Amino acid sequence: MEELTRQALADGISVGEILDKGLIGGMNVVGERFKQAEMFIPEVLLAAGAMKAGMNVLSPLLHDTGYRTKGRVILGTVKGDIHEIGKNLVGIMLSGAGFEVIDLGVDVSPRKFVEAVVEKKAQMVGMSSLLTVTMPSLKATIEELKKAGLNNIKTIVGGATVTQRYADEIGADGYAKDAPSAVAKVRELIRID
Amino acid sequence: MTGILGELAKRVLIAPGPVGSHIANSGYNQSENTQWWAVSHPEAYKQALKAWLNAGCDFLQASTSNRFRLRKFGLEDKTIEINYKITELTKEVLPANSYLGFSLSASMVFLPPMGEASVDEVYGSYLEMVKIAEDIGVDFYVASGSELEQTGLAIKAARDNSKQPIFALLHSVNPTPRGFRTIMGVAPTTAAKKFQELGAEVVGLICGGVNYEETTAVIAEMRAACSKYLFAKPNAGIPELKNGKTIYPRTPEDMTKAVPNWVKAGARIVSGCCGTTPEHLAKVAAVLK
Repeated sequence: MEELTRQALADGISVGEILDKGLIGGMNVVGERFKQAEMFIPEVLLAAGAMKAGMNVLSPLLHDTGYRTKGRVILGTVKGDIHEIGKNLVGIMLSGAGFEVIDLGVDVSPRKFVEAVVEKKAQMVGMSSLLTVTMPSLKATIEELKKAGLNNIKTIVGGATVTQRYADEIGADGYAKDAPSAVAKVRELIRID
Repeated sequence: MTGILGELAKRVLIAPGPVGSHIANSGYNQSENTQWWAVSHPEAYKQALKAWLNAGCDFLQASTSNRFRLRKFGLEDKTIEINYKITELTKEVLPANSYLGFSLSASMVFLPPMGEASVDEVYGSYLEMVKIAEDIGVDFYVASGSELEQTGLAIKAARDNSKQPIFALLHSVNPTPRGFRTIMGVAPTTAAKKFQELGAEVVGLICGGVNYEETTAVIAEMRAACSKYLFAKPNAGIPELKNGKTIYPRTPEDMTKAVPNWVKAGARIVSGCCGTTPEHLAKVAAVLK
């Protein structure tokens, strides 16, 4: 994949185009096939790995062209939950879309999310919860952010059992059911100049 | 034939339900590792197990936690301690005429090329569990996973180091446009064949996005693909949001209607995963008697 990316650059294709049409475009196809059960997790992970490899080649060049990060996003799987594939995919695609991603990993407490937002001066928090028993942690984190006075911070939630309705009920700013939708939603919710 | 296989030769058995959602009523706030909470609150854990026994379950299972999974919770250094303790606690409440199963639950790491853990490391994480089980003395093993390679390693660890029978369950089967598949792309038919090949005496499904009716179809598929005893342990329906709380909609009455269909399709052990309560299984026990 790194080779292909370098070849594309050598052929004169712009960094932006390789990123949007090649890498992100490719992951969108994978996402669609995953939804149709034509691809499964193993294939998705391999594709994500390939995208990351392409990103490794492009990232330094993005900075060179005076490319500024579109925003800073804290990601994590909530306390009690250690599922991370979805979150990892969101992270990869957000990076590809020009956001700076700080991934706190799994089993992340509300307090830890808040501390990260403050420390990294992030604009957004993205939380994943796969188990129904850990969904309350999503709400707890949103409330912790409010308690800390971080009312301008946007929140987006996702995970196999999370729904738009649940997201609305707990006061999240956004919900996404897969990585490509997450990128679109994040773009909608935060803009920095 | 003796042991659990001897029982299975005589009748349909009822397995205990999930640990996590059940001990939720005892103060477990669902944001900690279940097994660590259980060993830190032994009386509450034993109460939960007794509830399953009172409901009519024919055996108990030590719900264990793999090293890799504990690592994600920052509890890896307590791997041996937690798994010994939880097995001993389970054995303490087990009636004399009952059986003790030992879970070889998923490690949740990926093998290459997708992941970082090597085959040897993952096999090692299952081997250390089998050693604990053999040291304490268990009646059978229950391996589960969403794909075949890792679950195969768990089965192998048990098969190579124990004489006890092995149950192998396919974790989280979902309905998809292409038929039933786990998130890792494995079909029930493929799993049933493979698990039988690897030496499992019981094959089945656990958890996942299939409802009670779809479970009948999954069991039928497994029946057609292998000749082993079958084990159905689906969730109590697909979770829904009601008044801000997530609930599993299938009631004990629903389950009493579904279980006879599972048995007709070939199930020999029945139970439920997420959302299943002792009330569900007590009603099922009454229907099966």
